Amino acid sequence: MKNFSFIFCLILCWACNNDVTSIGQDLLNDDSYVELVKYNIENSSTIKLDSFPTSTAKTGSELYNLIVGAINDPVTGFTNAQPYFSLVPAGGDPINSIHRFDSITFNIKYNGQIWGDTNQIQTFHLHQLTRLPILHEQNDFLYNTTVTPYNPTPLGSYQILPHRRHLDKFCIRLDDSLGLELFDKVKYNDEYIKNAHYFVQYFKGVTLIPDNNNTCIFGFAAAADSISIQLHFHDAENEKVYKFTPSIAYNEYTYEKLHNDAAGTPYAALTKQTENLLFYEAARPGISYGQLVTQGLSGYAIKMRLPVAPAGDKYKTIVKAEIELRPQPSSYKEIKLPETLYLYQSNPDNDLISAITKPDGNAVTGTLIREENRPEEERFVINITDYYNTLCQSNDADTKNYVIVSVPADLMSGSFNRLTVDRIPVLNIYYALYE
Amino acid sequence: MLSTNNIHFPMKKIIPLYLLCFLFSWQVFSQNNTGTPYSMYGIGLLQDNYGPYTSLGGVSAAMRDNNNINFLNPASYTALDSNRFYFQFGVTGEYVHISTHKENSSYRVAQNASLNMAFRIYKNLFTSLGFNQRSDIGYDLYYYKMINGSDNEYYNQQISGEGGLNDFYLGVAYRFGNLSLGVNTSLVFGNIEKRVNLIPLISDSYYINSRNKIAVFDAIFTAGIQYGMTLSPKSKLTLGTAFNFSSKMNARKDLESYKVNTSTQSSETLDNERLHNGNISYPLRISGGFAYDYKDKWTVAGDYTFQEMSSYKEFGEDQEYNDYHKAAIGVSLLPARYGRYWWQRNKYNLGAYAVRSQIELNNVHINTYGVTFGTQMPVYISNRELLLGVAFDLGIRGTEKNGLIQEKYAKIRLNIAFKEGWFMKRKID
Repeated sequence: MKNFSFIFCLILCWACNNDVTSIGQDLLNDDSYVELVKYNIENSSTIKLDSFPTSTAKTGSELYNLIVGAINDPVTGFTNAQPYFSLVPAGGDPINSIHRFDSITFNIKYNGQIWGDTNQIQTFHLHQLTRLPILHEQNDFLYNTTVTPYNPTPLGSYQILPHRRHLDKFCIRLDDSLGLELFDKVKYNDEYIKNAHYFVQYFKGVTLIPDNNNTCIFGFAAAADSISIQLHFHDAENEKVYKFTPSIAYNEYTYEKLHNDAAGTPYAALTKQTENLLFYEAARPGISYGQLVTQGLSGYAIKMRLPVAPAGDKYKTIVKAEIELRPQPSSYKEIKLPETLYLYQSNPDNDLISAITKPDGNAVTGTLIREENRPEEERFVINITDYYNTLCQSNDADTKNYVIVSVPADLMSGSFNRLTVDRIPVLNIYYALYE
Repeated sequence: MLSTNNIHFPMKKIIPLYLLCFLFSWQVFSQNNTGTPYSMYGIGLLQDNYGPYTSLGGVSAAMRDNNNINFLNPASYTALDSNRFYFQFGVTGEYVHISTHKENSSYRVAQNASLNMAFRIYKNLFTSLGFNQRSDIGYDLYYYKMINGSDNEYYNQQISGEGGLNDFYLGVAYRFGNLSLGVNTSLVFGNIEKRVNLIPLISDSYYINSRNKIAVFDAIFTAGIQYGMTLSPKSKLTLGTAFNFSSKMNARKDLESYKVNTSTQSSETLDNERLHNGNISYPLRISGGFAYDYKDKWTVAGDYTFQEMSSYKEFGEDQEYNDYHKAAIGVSLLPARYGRYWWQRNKYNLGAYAVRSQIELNNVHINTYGVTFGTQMPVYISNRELLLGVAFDLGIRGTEKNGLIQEKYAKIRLNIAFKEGWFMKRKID
């Protein structure tokens, strides 16, 4: 009997752990599968944001990059970037009666970002503000459209050939009368020097204004070690320096005033944010089908009304949804593509309501998919799966399907990178049919 | 001398063995028997060849003897000894080489376990009860496919299933002279579980897990008739048939599906519902055949089985199968029932069968052809007899044509039949 039991055990042990995978694919009816359906987002247009914050407000904990210059972009027209910032006494070598004033300068550190023609001489003027910028009464922000008056007589002017070796030494010699005034205040340890708040109220701040004839814009860090007004003086033996720099305590007064004039381009038609320039309306010689554009500084963004997926089979679900934007080939040789795109909820009036986020709270972003040796296949892909699933399950999906694709709003004043699209955006929906 | 007036129960040694066999069969019923992809259709793969006469091509309709419990035709119970308690256990091990025109693999399964008992109740009235497997499902397929509508994106499709239908039966048979009538009442139960996993190979997406489960629980009646004729002093002919009428089995079908985010692993339930609460049909099945016995030495038997699978419906939905047909023939030689040598007392069997299954794919019928051989070896032990059946079954199922699968299988079925003198009384102690 033991022998029989042993044989049965053998049979049972023998029949385990089979692997018959990947065989007989043609055997199956394709009643469960994954499919991709592409929808052209026909209702795509370019809009121009009227205004957007360019400061970090009082709550801002970090100063960001600033841009200065003027540029004529063949796609979006003329753009002028004019930074404003306040300064406080930062200290340096002590000044006393044995020291002699030499000069006062304005110095900035180039951050490596530059757009436009760098073979032309650029001219800049530094002006002193006549009052502090007035913060927005509701949110303390300063906007690209915020106007702050300044003394029309510049403290100093500067011409530079915008090559790196020159930009790294960006330095404007300022009016000596201002220098002597500040020199004395430091020397006698004036109340304005001892108290930063008093100094901000007294000095107001400065703005760096580019000539409208300039041909490029460049960036510089807004950190305390990158921007300064420096008093240069000496004693019998040494040259010495005392600095005034931005302070994080007064960060809210640092902002960027921006102006775009799209005359000569199709986007000149956009005079207010509620207007749309449809993809096909931007067609012109060389741009056969149409065009969409989003760009920092100039304020352009791409608005889309997403097609709502039709209610399909019961056992069919969306496993992925993404927006695909194909950059116009060669459009980014001179002006780089944005590193990241954000997606915002919008409405028929083109308001930027809120950033669309993923379930983990992070913003939905678009990144560039590069295709080696196939630039025509390069594309920005924005994964909107969770947002789109929610949208399609909503009863009023047809009224909530407005979105805006833009460079991140909080970086709108920190970069001139541009995405130009010359093919209609596509919504890729991956469905799974599982029953 | 022995008489039947005193009942003798040598249970002490036997019960552990029964228990062991029960555990074996339970293990076979419940193990993950991943095997033929052809089992994915309907209620699974129907049993083509099992039972005590596997080595005779699986003939059963007219088979009756006093050594085996032929549970496939209840009328045969009347051939059993009147004063013995029968116990029978069988299981099949199968090795399969599976191939298509472009790839091949292999698998092994244990299946078709059966556990049966039988004894006489009263005079010409006999009974049998036991567990059998009625159908078997076990497949696990994993495919790498291009997403429809895409030119360079893929997904994994995993299709798997397991389960099948089992039955617990209780049968009775009565003999009127040469005519025997019997009926099995089977409680058919089991789960047919089919799973689909769809895993898009694209970043930040969802994959789908879907599980579709049919639970079956109902009774089926199988009737059997056998009629024996003595053609000459040396030859006998038995005709037999067994059949069940089409019946609807209570069943319910549930669907659970959910999708899982590939990045966060968070899941979302898509469906958790009872799709159907109704029935699936178990169509008419009938087998008829003959067994011719010459000089208690040679036996020739033939069978034809038909099942009207074209009328098979799941919850009212026609599954568009074909009818099932099987023809089997077998011949056996028993050199000398009471021979001096062990090899003379063995029965040597040879058989063949052909099946046209209910499955038709890509305009090709899925047929099965097999040859069988084996032996039944009697073993005499004190107050009990044991018949050890070893059957080999070599066959081909399906075809490589039109992208289909061909399975070349080699099966071994072990069948142990005991008979105990439970109902005998010692006349002289």
